[in-house]
Amino acid sequence: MTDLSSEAGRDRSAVGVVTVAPILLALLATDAAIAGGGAGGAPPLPRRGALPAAAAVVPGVLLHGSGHFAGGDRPTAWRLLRVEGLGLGLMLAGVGGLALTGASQRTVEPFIWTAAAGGGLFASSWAADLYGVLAPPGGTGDPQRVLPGLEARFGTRYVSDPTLAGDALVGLALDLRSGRWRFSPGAWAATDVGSNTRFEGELAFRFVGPRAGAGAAEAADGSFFDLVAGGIHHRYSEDMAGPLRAAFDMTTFELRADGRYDLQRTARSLAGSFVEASAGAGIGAYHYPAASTSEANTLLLARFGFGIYLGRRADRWGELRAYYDHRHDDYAGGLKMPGLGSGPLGHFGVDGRAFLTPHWGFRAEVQAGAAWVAGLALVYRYGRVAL
Amino acid sequence: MSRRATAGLIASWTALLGAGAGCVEVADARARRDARIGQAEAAGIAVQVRGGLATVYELTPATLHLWLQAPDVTLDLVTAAGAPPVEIIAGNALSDATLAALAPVAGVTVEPIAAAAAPTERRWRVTPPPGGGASTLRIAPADSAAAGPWRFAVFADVQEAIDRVQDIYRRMSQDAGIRFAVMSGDLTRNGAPEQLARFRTEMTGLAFPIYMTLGNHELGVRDDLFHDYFGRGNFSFVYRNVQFTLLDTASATLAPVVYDWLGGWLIEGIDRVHFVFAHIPPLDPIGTRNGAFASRLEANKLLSLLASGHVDTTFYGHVHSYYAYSNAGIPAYITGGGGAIPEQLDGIGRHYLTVDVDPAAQTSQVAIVRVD
Repeated sequence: MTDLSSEAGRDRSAVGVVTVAPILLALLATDAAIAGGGAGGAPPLPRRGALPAAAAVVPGVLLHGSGHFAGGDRPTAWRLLRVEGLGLGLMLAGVGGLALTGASQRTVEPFIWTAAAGGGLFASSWAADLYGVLAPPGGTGDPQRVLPGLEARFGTRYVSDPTLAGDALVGLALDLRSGRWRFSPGAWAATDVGSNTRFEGELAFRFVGPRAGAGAAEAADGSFFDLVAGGIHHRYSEDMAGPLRAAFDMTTFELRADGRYDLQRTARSLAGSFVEASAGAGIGAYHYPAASTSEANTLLLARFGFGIYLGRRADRWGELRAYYDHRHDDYAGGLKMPGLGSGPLGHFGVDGRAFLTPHWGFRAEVQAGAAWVAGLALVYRYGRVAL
Repeated sequence: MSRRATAGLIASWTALLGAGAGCVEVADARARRDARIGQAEAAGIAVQVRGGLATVYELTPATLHLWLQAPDVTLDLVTAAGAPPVEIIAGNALSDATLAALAPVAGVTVEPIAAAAAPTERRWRVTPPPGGGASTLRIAPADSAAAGPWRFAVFADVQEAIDRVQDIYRRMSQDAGIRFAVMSGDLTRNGAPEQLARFRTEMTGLAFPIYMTLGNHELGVRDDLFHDYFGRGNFSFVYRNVQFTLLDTASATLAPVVYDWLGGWLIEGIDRVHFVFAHIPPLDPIGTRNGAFASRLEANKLLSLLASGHVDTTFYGHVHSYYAYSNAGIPAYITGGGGAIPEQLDGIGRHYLTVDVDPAAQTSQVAIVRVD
């Protein structure tokens, strides 16, 4: 662990104000309600063992915090249960609002964001309970407190989508960071039949959280809050029967807020884990050569995730996260399900990256939506890194 | 890191992924079922409905009971030598439809039977050739290939409002010009057999047939029950030189094989006025809501394909309101006004659309008819 500098301490306070507001509010509210509890009260670490682990599954899948309760960390247990309750409440409010308004175009966005935030709190509180009783004391790893100036990824993706051509992709992506700024261009292209090419670019400004550069101060932890402007251009073409052809391109601009909150701030047992949330919107121009026309459409962005840091050395470090992403316009798209519910939901995914040397590592991902996506990339990083 | 922690987290995330992942081939079984619609065989008799444009309720040596999904249906009947007359019952038929033997021209006798359970039920007694073999029969109205303008209606999303659907049918029945209606899915609350049967019973309140595809609300019990009652979810037919194509988008996607079928239908209708109907629209005009396909890549693939096939107009349901917009340059209408929980704050209540089409001029005009 790195000692906190005074700047890092200020940084930590700033993060506490702006990061992932619903989650923070939920956690703070529960702290105040529990006598003797809260992060400042330094509750004991829960006991490890079969009983807390089993309790985190049953009844923990329904009563989040059961693992901590069985392990003796009752303040954290109650906090997780309250977060679960808040998550359920937000989900009900969001879904109920959608039902009551018939998904009215005038009110749909806040209800979807509310439901997504509720889903994130609900899922994260269970994941945190599991993590807290399964992870070793001190957690599974530490966050990066200074980020590398360059991270380059070169890899391949396989997209199993029975309705689209171009399932084998190769891609290159960069994260170029300087201080609070990040520029991330990337491209994916199909290697087999047809064209299924995607160009992506993001420009992000970090209000709080780990930064890059030789002179960057070490952040308190991995928590951050970014404002991101992004652009995507996706081209697709496929020859069909006779004179028919499926061909289009989509150009989308989006604006969103991304946040991460390290859970060591709420309980010692959760050190090494984090939650993420993101919200925003996009507008796209969809062009159809067959009709010589372009049409506008909008996109709601919402994402939440839970993750863990792996390792305490910069040259043996990684992170792993599971997430829900409301996007419908990428290779994975939204969920298709048996029964009534296909369409509105986005996709789920797991991704992780691990560095095996000071510079080299790999990234792996799996996404499940309208398509299954599996990817593996070689990662190179350059610049100062500190944990 | 602790192996226990890793295993636990991977297990929980796998469960999360698995729970959410569902299946990317959710519509394939229904498409396979489509391909079998209209085929049946019994002792000494077999039938095949061309294009799967009718489902076979019952086939015995003496009875063939069909439910039509098009105004003009051709079927091939194979009988044994000395087979008895077959009573052919056609449900969901135009009230002026007649049955004629296309082949063999001689040797098959057709006799209309007056008794019918509904205005859209037609019955005939068909005596097959004494020597048996194949007969080709056609059920069609006299105006099946007529020129000139005509009208049909479009609606969707009745669901739990089945008790009030007669309001819509009464309003439609006041319009003597409507030849038939097309429904873009969500007949029922969750697709239970009794709900499907109820919808079919309520149709007897109309003097004209309804051709329909299914919506996501038909998938709540078993995803191919719709086929037992009404036939295919994906099909195409021609009436008065206008091509009608209905697509099963109830799972926010098209089954891959349907793209092959659709290619054929688009080529067949490329020089005609061509209307396409589906329940879930490829793109929601309110994109942030995404009452639409699960994948925008697939949505745009489908729309670009329809544009390259010169489709004239698309009609959808799913969103319980009325929208007129453009998708891939094709005029598009969402008409989810069958009575299901309405979209609020839009000023649109129950409604249906009428479409006046002039195939010779290759023009059409769409109007909204408010029921409330």
